[in-house]
Amino acid sequence: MYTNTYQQTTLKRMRTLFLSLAVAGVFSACSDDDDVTPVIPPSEGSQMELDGGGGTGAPNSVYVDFSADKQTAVPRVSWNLGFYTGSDYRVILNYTSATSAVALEKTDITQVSLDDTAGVSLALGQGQGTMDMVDDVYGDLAKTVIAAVSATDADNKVYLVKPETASASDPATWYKVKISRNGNGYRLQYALLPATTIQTADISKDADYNFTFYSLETNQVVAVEPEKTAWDIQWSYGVYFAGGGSAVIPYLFSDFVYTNTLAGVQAAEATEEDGFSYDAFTIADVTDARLVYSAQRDAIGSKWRVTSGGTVGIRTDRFYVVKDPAGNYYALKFISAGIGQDGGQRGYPEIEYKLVK
Amino acid sequence: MKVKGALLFGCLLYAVCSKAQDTAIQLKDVVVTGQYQQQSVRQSVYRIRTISSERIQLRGATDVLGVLNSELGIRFSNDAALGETDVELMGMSGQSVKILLDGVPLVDRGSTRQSLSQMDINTIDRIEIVEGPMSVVYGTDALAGVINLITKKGKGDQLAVTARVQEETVGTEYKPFNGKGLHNESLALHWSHQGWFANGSFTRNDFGGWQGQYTGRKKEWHPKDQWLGGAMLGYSHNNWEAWYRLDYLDEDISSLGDINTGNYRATDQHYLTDRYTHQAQAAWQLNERLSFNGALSWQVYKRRTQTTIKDFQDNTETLSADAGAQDVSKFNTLFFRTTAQYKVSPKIMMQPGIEVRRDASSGQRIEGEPVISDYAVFVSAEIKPVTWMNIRPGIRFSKNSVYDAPPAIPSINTRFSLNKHMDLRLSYGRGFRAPALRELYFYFFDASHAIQGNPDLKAEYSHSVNGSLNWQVPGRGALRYTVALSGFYNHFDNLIDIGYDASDPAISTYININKFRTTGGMLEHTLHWKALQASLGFSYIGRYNRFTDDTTYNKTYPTPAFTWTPEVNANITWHFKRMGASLSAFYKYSGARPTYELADIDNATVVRLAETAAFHYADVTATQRINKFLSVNGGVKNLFNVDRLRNTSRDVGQAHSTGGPVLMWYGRSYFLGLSFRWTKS
Repeated sequence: MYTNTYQQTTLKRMRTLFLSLAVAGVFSACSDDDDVTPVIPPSEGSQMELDGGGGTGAPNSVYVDFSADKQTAVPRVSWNLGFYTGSDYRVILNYTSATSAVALEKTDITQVSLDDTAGVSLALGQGQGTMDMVDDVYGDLAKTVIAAVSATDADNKVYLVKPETASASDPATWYKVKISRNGNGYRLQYALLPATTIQTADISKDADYNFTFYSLETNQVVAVEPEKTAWDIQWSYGVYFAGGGSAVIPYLFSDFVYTNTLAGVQAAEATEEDGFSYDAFTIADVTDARLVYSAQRDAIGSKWRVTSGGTVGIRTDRFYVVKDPAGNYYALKFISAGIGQDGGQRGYPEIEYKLVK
Repeated sequence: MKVKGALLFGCLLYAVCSKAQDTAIQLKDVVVTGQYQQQSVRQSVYRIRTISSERIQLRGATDVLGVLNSELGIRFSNDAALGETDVELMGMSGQSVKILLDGVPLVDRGSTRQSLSQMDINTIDRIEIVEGPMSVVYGTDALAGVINLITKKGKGDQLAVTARVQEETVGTEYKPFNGKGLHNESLALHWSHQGWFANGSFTRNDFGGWQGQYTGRKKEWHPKDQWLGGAMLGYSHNNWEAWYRLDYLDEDISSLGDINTGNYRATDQHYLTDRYTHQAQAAWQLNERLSFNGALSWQVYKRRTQTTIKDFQDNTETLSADAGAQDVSKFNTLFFRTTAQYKVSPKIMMQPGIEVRRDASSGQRIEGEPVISDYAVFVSAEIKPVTWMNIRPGIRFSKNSVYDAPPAIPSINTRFSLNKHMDLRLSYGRGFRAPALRELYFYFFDASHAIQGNPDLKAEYSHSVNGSLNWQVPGRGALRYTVALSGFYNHFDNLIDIGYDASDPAISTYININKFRTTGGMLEHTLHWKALQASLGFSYIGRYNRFTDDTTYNKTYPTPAFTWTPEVNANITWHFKRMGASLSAFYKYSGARPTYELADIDNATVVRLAETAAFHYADVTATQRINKFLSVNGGVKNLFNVDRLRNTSRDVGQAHSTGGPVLMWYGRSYFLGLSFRWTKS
């Protein structure tokens, strides 16, 4: 069933940051008087440049598996719906894009037309949208827009789904979607909103993966996530929230880092303020009470960088301790992201990580 | 003390005594901004502040901003990221202030008035500031007022060479002649003979930046290196005069990134500006009753953004491929204005005029290569039914090729001589600001922006009322004392702001939505007594608080209509005539700037008062003549050592935050300069 059309790139750059005195001499000779000659310490760390594809709305999501030194880049808008493969019947919206959805009262998809969009707005981003048109931003599968798929098909409502590629002001570009159970799997019925011909796809659960991903736009199951034990973090443009108090709205973040919570990945932020050092971090430190492990998928999120207000750039005073699905602890730090003046390119972030021993 | 005759009429603020070596420089109490002909400041229907050439010299300023910073009602805001400074006049930001060079509007690329810091201060003879709208004669943008830079022009038969070298620290940072600190060198040649006059000038203005709280290569104030050149050629005959002038600027504002010790690379940015300001002006006095003036200008403004990534491991430098990292924005403007001055009768003088302007632009965030043309006719008259009364009504009609220009802009200015010592000025005027090219044709779409210009915008407009009373207190002997009291009220409507496009709410665009008001008053004193000149002024300016009329908030959080900021300035100069020396102090207090803002506190959105802290600014300078050709000046700038202003705004951490300390200055600095002047008649 998997078409395996996605691109898997393995870009492992082991850098031995060992520089001879001669090279150091070149630096000092060529640097201008205001430049501080860098003292480059020897390091055994692994670095990886993630293939996000460039830009603030980078086209790829990148999954990283620390233990295998492997990254997997996938076009982030290549799918619309993800079907949970666990025991529950849950369907997620594409959280790595501005995908929004709303439930209709109708349960018969053939009865849904453009007339059902009266008073409905699915505009998302640029200050538009409400939190109820996106899934729980912390990754709680019990709080998805699309309700748990019921065994009683009469309870399964029709949803309007607006992919990022559709127009908020033109409902004819939206989809109508109805999902039912089909044995141990799902039956998906869908069509463009004005269309009268309804497409049907049967989707099975594969326990090796968290989700089975489907594209309404290309009418097929697509390979997105690697196997669920084969990734730890996902870097992507994606949905989160902005504002506080009564004014919380969905907001799409560049450079968001999601953790693989469904496979048990947890992460904690370790700051210099708390006395942690990336270089000196050892396995004895992973149980330090000052490290607060989070099992939510925003455990790293956007906390590692500042993009506006004050000094922008990567927050170099902190790193992350990530517990992978196998129980290994990795220390992860961000090197560059093209934010501020970090010498990187936007959409091609550089990370460094090491196995904590 | 030698005081020029015209001074007896009393000038308001800045009339100052000329030093012996300055006699060649023209009368200082004559103004031209908005006038039918050169006129004594007292006769003008506008209240005009003049900053004289002597004041410019005494300040030891290296750019125009360095002269304006102690003026009442003028405030700066610094954009630390771009290394640019905008000016605010009477509570309104730069886009409502018209910047003129000898009466010709200078082009700027956006709302920030970069032009003020991109003209060579060494070629400026004086600066005239008019508060209140002057849209009848100067058109768009002249809502809050006009700042007119008047250039030096040689008179009589002479050859003059002037040169200047000034070295200044930037806070505590300094290296001689290059790099850290501020280095200004200038050379100018003036020649005039049998009606011909010409001059040429060349200036380097090198600002080394200020490290501030940053480390390594990064600086809080970006280094700025300017090369400025100018040339002028003209001819004047009995009843006519014509001249051409070119001002050139080459500017490099550099923002070096600190070395990232993770990858041993740094991102560097350069903002490179080229600016050519060509202008030709002519005046022709046909007979006693009729004269003509004309101005033609062609301006080319090009700004390049260059972003490079420097790799310190292999010592290479590559261009960044990020969106917006490399960009060239171009603006060019063709401007023509001609006026006739016709004396209908001894009591009535009229000035009809025509203005044509064509603006073109291109760049990364501009959709296409738009061109806007604007045509205007205007007429005003000065009616003096009795000697003590001067009434000047005026009206302007415009037609624009793109936006809906306001059909008619009227104004009326009056001056009444209440007695020999007292003048009252009252005026009402409409002002307008045409939508800028970026507001009409902006185009910026990326992951977190979807902003598009709106070609259907209307002009912003204002109603303004101004009044002032000047009283020259009858003097005794060498004592001269003047008091001026003034007040203003401005109501701005149709202000352009970012909002959602009604047809597609996913796109932000510019819409005419906001209202704004400013009001306030000033009380100014000037005193001349023998070798002493002193002035003391107060101003109290209120800016509109948008929450007062906001139905969502004004019931739960009632707030006043205006937030007020007081200012005090004081200047004192003492001339030691026999020694050929002078000592001056320039002081300004800028009161706290309050602003109401929305904040989320305990999960509720409330209106709260935030405040940018007050600050004191002072310069103390001294000049000393060494010999016939040389004089030395030096002093302390920013005596109170101001750098950042505390700001209680909570708007921190969100997009385009206004929170956090406000960068105002870079600490106490010291300067020393040498001026050379050689003349041959």
